[in-house]
Amino acid sequence: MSELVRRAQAGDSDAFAALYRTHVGKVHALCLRLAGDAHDAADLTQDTFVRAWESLASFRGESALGSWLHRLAVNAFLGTRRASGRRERRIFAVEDPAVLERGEETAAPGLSMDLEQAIAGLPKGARTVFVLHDIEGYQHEEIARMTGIASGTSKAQLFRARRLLREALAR
Amino acid sequence: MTCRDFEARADAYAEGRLSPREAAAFEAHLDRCAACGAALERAAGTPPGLTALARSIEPAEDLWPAIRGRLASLGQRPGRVAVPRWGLAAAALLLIAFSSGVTAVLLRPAPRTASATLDVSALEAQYAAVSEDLTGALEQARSRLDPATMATIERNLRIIDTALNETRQALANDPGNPALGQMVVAAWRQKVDLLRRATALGAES
Repeated sequence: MSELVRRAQAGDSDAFAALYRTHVGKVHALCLRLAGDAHDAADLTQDTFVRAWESLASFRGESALGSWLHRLAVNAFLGTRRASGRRERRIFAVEDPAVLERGEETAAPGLSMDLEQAIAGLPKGARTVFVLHDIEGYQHEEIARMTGIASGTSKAQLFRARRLLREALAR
Repeated sequence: MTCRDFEARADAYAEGRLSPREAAAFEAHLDRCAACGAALERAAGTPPGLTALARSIEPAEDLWPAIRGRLASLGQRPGRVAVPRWGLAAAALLLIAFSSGVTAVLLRPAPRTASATLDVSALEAQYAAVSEDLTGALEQARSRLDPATMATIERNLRIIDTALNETRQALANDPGNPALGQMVVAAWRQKVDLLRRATALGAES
């Protein structure tokens, strides 16, 4: 375990700030892809680091701090998704297939690449599974446990996400 | 759904053209058919450009000042996940409520109307299945929780189990008493709620 982590665990906020600077880019990239929206991604990134501070003393260094933070971000996203009516309304709008056709109009700031735009335009279930499986490397069984869906649903949603992404990129 | 039906519906599923019922059947087929799962995997591989995605994307604005403000408002050092005081208080209140409730129910004549009768056995079976799943999840999270926290959770669970067993025994002695049935179901509800909260604590640590 790094000296910075030990100092942060002891309550040194400067050390925690240094950890934030080191990891914020990767955590934010994950949050951006999961949320599909820059504003929500910023909120989610904040929530992740606040949760990290709250439970940092229980981090034992058995995994890399980056992996631990990613897991916190995924949990924060799943919790927020369940709890937030506002988010549900936004995601409902993204369920509209026409979103994929609107390109720049719906793309969030910071999502400049075509693939990033296409990921942001995926339906919520397909996007969550795609990001967790194809980008973050989780297995279907792990995704099923985390999200509360069946493993078969995770596989089907991944298929849907990949097909929609290929179609979007081919346009 | 047969494998042939599954294959025929794959395009419609991807395009969101199946009804919710058809989509659920499509997804359920994948839970029991490895061959169709493999075929689906072959039909849609990872999209091009995936490995070129940026591993790191900085936020458009510096988030640290806002995070620092939230940490300051917490007014605490980073700590292990701890069971909030309400958890202990709730369990204590629950035990008192059950003890008092069982006593009250036993001391008064119970109404016996068909409309007030719960299918306690069926509800118990459902709660027991959920409880078993959550207990397994909590066991997996054990290593991530502070031992003192885990001990507190287990102590609270024992209190609820005691209340549950006592109420269940009272119901066995007076099986037609709907109030006792309601108390058994309420005890299960409390147990599942505590397990859910404890499992969530473990998932965040």
